Amino acid sequence: MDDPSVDELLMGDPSSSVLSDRLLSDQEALTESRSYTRLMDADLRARLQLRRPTSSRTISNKSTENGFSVWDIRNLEYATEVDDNLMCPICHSPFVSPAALKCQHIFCRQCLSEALSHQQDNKTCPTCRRPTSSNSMVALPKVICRMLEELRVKCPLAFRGCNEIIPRGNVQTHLDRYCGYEEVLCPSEDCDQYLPRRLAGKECLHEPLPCPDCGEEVSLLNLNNHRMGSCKVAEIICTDCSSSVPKSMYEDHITSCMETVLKCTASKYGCDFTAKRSVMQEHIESCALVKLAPTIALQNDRLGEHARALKHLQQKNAVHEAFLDTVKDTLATIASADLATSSLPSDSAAPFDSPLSHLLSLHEALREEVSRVSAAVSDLDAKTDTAFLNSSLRAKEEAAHRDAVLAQLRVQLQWLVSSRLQGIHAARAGAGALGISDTRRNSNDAESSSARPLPSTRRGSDGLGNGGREKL
Amino acid sequence: MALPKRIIKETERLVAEPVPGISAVPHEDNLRYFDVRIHGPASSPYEGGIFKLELFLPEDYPMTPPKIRFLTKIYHPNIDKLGRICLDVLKSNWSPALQIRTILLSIQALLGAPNPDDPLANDVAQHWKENVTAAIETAKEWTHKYATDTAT
Repeated sequence: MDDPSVDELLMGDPSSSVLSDRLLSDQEALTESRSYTRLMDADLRARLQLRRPTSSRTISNKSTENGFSVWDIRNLEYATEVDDNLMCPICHSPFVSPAALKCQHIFCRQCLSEALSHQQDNKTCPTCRRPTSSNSMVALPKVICRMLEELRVKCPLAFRGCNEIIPRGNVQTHLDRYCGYEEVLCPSEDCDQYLPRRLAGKECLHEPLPCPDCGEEVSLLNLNNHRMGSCKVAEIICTDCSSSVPKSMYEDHITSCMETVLKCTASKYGCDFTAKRSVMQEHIESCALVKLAPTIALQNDRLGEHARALKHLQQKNAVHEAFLDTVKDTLATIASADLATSSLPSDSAAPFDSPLSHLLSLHEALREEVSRVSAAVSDLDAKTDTAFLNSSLRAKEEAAHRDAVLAQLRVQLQWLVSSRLQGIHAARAGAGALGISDTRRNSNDAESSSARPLPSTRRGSDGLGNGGREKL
Repeated sequence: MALPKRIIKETERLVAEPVPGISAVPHEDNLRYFDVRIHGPASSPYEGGIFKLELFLPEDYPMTPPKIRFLTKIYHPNIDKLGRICLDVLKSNWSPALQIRTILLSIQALLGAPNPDDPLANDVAQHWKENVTAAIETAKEWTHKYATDTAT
């Protein structure tokens, strides 16, 4: 503790002790930061859920790339298995600033408020549904909170390579003070950029310097990446001949470097000769296996082809065998059925040991056949009966319909005739009174003309009716 | 949006310790979408059937309930012909302390205990009230027809 006054000033509050750690680690920025500390103290207390140390300088730190890391306590990865009793039933993670309801069910404070805000008027406990309210949340005893803060977690910067495992409550301290992968301000006073803590020394690594190979301006921080990547001139030392080769030529060099140790080209056919490229040519000319290689390759191909053909045939064979099995099964069932029908109850073990029993069984079989046939015949009979009934029913319906039409016609005719007759009677009465013979004759004519078609119609309709009846 | 830790944990647990008679597998391209299979409970008209369901976890899950629907046709007074399920915990009685496995268990229990007094499919519920034996017979037929391996 280099500066006990600062420590005293900020003691007693975990969030500010976190800050004080940061300040101690960065002596140069101390005086500047101190004024911000008090401002941020309140801010940090409000951000217990999502501790997000804002930069004490004017630079924005929206991303983790530039400035301090933004991390969420809910996304921490736990290094050890956490007891199920310490898991929030809502987020299924260890409690973060837990709160209890009257029914003694415990949740993360944030989970609980969110859950209650999603409920309508009657707030209930998410676990037991007992009535509750948003303001009946109670904080848990300090000892439990401390135990939770002691759970071991992985550093939030594990993705950058930090392997530290630390108590959950110390994550901010770790990031602010120790983590070599956290970005810190450049030690140089003129520079306002960031660099990983493990690379921070005395001097600024951001100042552009000409690359020793190509002369392009690169910061010291990126020099290595530049020489391995975008620099066109940087030389690479060949691992085999230890000569330095320009990067652009390196590809060609490794395929032609005389010092590279190679295996014989026929190594896969059994030649275990290895030598430098300069000697290899000599060996290849004398190696018998190299000469045989094309033939062996050809043979290998053929073998492969045969293996494939064999596999195909085996599959085919398997299919056939399966088919054969099913055929055998069906045959067996048929045979057993035959056995069952032909055997008599008295001698089921030896069905054919006497001609009599054989005859009896034949007789039985025939009887069964007959009964089956008779059943089929009766079935057919019933079928034809119903078919006949169906067709005759239709004919009956037709006849009934025609009868109805006929009756209607009859009624109409009667009505016509009666009206006509009434007309004639009236005319006769009129003629009698006046004594005009002409009128009578005329009316007689009219009567006969109107009466004449009547019998014929009747006959026709009778005929039709008879026809209909005959059909029935 | 990144998948919340809770969903990842639930999925891992569903795969590692599956509930007997229930399987839920997330889609590879959408980890919020699950293919669910529920075996019909024993001594119910759905015994022997395997029912397919789809389950979707909405954006604000677990604050809002998962959306679940039967894909296999089923004759049940609380499940309509679109596969929608009438179950209180899927609607008003949802609680974030519930989870996928408890909800699927509730659905399996609903198959074992149809409730025609709170119907979703009115015609089925009517049938259930008027003639329980015939309704159960139809449910068995449907199970055999739509929810067995032979059903296409």
